[in-house]
Amino acid sequence: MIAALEAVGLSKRYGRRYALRGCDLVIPAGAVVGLVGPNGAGKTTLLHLALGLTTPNAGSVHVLGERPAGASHLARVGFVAQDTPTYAGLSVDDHLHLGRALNPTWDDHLARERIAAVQLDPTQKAERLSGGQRAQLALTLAIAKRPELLILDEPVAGLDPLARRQFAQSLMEIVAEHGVSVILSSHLLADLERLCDYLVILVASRVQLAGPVEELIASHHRLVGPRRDHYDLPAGQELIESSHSPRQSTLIVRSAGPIIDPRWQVEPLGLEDLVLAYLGRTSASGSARSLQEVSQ
Amino acid sequence: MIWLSWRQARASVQWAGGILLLAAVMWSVTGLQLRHSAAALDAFRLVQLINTAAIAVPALIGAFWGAPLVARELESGTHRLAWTQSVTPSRWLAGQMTVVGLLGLLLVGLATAGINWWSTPIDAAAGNIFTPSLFSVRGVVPLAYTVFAFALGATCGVLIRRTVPAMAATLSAFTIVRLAVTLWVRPHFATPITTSVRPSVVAANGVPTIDGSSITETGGWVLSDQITGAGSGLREVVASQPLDRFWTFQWLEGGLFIVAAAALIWLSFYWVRNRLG
Repeated sequence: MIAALEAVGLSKRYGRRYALRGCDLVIPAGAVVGLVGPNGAGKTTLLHLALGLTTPNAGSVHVLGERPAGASHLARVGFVAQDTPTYAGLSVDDHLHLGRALNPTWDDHLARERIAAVQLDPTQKAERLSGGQRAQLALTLAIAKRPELLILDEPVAGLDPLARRQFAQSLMEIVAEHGVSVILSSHLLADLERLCDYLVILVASRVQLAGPVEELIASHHRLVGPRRDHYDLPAGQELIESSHSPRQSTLIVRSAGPIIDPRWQVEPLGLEDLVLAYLGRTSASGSARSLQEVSQ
Repeated sequence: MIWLSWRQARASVQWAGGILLLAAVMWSVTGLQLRHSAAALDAFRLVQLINTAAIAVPALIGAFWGAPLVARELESGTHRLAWTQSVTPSRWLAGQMTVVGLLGLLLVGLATAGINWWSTPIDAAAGNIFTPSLFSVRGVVPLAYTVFAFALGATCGVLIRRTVPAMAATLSAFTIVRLAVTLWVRPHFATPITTSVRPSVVAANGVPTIDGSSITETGGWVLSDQITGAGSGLREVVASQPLDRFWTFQWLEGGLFIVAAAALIWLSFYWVRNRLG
């Protein structure tokens, strides 16, 4: 199987500051992949490198088995950039014209159908569109070039909850209809749970966790029991996070098999708590920058 | 690509075209009158002033068309939209530069042609087109200045990434380069011809005065004019570039600016490919 995105030792420096440093990562094709991490983890840089918007200082990145270079590669990948930029002075119609002029694989019928479906006025200038409408226009431009892979960089970060839900719905429809692979970066965990079937957690250029969402949920557990400072976990169980109150201890544990231990009450773990546990772990381990520092 | 460039440039091109059209009407009306009677010249001070102001047009094209070319996209983030269609950033930049650059060249070309046509009777009668103020609005150098200013503007936009600072940088850098070339480079394109004559001395109100007019009227560009010696050894030494070198100088200076523009264009392509995103 060809990976949607594969990075080997990928580094990008802006001046002396590394935005991405020695990143190794494989994102499978054929799935809706959530790329999660705090701000500054290198998500946007990784996606820009994947699109050839910028070139790496070291390492390599392959998208759909190709190095991102050249127009033929760009035609295979649709991109919705952060804050969904559009040309303020151009109308919705002008944007479709732009898409037609710049993409040999442009599907005008699909574009017009989508614009009508989300009730955008073709004569309206982009500057007069709401955030949600702009995001829909950007998504239309990205999908009407008929890409094999759709990359979205924080597409819903600036939207209100209703617009966010509508956008998520549009995206699900597109995935169902066109069978396109999706890479979606976000720090909004609730949206990921609804949309993604594969998750990659990236903190400070390092992949902390990657896998199908169902598997991740099934293999992580929360253990709650009376407070104890020493605990031995059997082989095959990995401690991800522990927290203690005066009377109670809570552990988050990764284990392939079920945990049967009368000393603990075992609870399932939601995706949001799971992600937070991994983000918190890196800050405690000291191997990476702390979450607070990173998110500034 | 051409469609997008044109769609973005359309409004400002229409404005520039409108101004040019207005100027064209003014040139044809007054130019024809001028050809009927040279005495009418005094009535056309305003037109002459406008023609002198044309010296600023390349700088304005650099600042208003060159500088925003990439900076505007970077500022609004739309480069992430434009450069991820099935067009590479280099192709996009090439398209933008070609369309907008050619429109700028066309504008300056037409304006220069208009000014030159209007001024033909004056140039023939008295004007010395080798003097710095006329040299830069005649011949081919206005086009070379335009290419350079446009490339300079685009490069400033790519490096500075903000529209207004890039425009300011373009205007100041272009002015400095133009002044430096005029003052320190252009005089050395060829060795000046030095002539030394005995100045005619005329008596003005009983005081002997040197009449320099006899020699400075040779035409061409006078670089220096000095009086040396005294008494019977009195000499007027004039260093000048004769008028027949006009076109050599035009092509040399034009070539210089085109080479500089090519270097800037290379830099902006390099930067867009490797440093942005």
